[in-house]
Amino acid sequence: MTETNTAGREPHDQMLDGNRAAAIGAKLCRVQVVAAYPITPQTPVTEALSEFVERRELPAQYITVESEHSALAVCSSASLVGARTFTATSSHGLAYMHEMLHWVAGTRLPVVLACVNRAIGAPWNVLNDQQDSISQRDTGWIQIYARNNQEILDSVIQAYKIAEKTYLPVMVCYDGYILSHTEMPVEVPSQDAVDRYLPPYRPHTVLDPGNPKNYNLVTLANPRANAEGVLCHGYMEIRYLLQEALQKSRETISAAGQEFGELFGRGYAKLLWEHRMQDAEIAIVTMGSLALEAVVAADALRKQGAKAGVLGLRVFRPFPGRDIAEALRRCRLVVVFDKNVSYGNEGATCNEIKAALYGSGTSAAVSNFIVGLGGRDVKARDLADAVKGALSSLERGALSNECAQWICEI
Amino acid sequence: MSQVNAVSLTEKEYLLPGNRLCPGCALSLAYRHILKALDGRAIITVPASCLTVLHGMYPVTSVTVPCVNTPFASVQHQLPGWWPA
Amino acid sequence: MGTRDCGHICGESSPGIGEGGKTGEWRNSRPVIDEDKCTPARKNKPTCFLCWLFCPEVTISKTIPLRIDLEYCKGCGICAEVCPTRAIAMVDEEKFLC
Repeated sequence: MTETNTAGREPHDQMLDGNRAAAIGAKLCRVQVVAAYPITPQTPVTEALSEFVERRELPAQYITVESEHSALAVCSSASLVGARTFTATSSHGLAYMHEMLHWVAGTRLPVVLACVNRAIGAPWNVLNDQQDSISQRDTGWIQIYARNNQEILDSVIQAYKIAEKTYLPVMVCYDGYILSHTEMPVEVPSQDAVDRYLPPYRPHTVLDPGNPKNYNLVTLANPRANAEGVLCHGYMEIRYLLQEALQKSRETISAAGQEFGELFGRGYAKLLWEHRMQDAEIAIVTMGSLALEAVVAADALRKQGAKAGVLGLRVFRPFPGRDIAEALRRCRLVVVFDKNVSYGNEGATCNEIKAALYGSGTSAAVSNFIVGLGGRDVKARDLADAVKGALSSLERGALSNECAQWICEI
Repeated sequence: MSQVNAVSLTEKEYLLPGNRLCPGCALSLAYRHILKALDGRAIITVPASCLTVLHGMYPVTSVTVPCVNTPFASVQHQLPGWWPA
Repeated sequence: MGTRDCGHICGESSPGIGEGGKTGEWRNSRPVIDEDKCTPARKNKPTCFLCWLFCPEVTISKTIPLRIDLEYCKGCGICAEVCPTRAIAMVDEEKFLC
């Protein structure tokens, strides 16, 4: 059993799986209300947090709920009155709380949610892909994708800093089983350092009978004056502010990452991470745990004479389009590997990257591969072979960027 | 809680005139009496319903106690969130 | 001048009278109190006030004489129904058109 007592004053290394890392991250952030419903492969997060509460290591309220929709509803109400809240889910659980995802973003509540990426049915599949969180990209949540278990823990801590500054909910996503159930060495920060990093949460909402406010009433299409004659928003203006907050949150995310680096020694100032991109002609683009395979593939391709590099999306929402365009526009070939599909079109990250490249003056060809759905193993060799295939098609003038290619056995 | 009856009901009003409910709405009347019986010691959670309409459209409300509107299935989940927090 | 200055980042409403507008405009008939029959008016004592209690719109004042706020009274007629001395009559708005 891994040791979980994080009351120590010094940072220390532990072998942690992704779920444990997420739970410890939430614990270090002194979350006050946890409401989560178990679902494979997220369940160990809920179990770990309930253990911490039971052992009085975390003085939080652990609320048992009957569904994920309820879990997020409870988190939203607790957050509304000023509690720091945490929940976690996957796949169907995230789908079940879809309505509440919109609701929480619209109320501008700084809830942090760990999404353990898992495939969505039908047919049933409990293994990894990113369809679940990608399907929710329009809800107004910040989305951060972790490459490894260290990043999971670090991202949960940063998530609270970002959320409570911007009043935007944050989803920390990590690949189910590949990260959630795989142990790796993780440096667990000291409680003191996290306390210094995270100021207390000040809600923008208040439920005070002495100063009664009503939240989330029906809002009309047009602006409307309040009882004092001040012109207040129509629905569209409230939603504009949500979008504006998301767009501006890039600065907060970057600053939070920078400060994290100063305090904990691991910096996250950039929304993207890069490997050998300075002179890359071929960019491999991934999100999440595929990072390691992508790096191995790029290094192998380099040995074979191809100037390959890796661009990883750490933050997917807000979409760092300008940074992506800047990183990719000088490439000849961009190969995007998506562990998701926007059915009827192509991989979601590829689609958004193409949009980011539009107007950037790039002459890069973009090729999309759908990989790893439902936990299909993706080896570095598969990535390298796909890139080589795309490169050869490009050189023959036969590269089609109309359809994503699937790496599977069909 | 001490007994409250029609005679001892507080004169303080927790509803304001000019809501959007139908003339003669029993909900409006019942809500007025409930809030008087509680003497305003309440925080209300409201699903999509006529009660939502009573509470009004942003940015004005006809109710002078704190209230949170929620989607259908999450009405009852406001309390477990508020209580510990 | 845009709406940003209101300072709200979510749907946060504050209490105000007449949220639905001047709902008195909805009326088809208005309550008229006959002070010869109204018990508190006759006795000049705070008693009865059932009409005040049963008005869904909070437009009747608990005063002597009782006053009905016609800007917000919707003309539902509950006050007329509950009055034990039948002191309230619902009179067609037509009669009050100038």
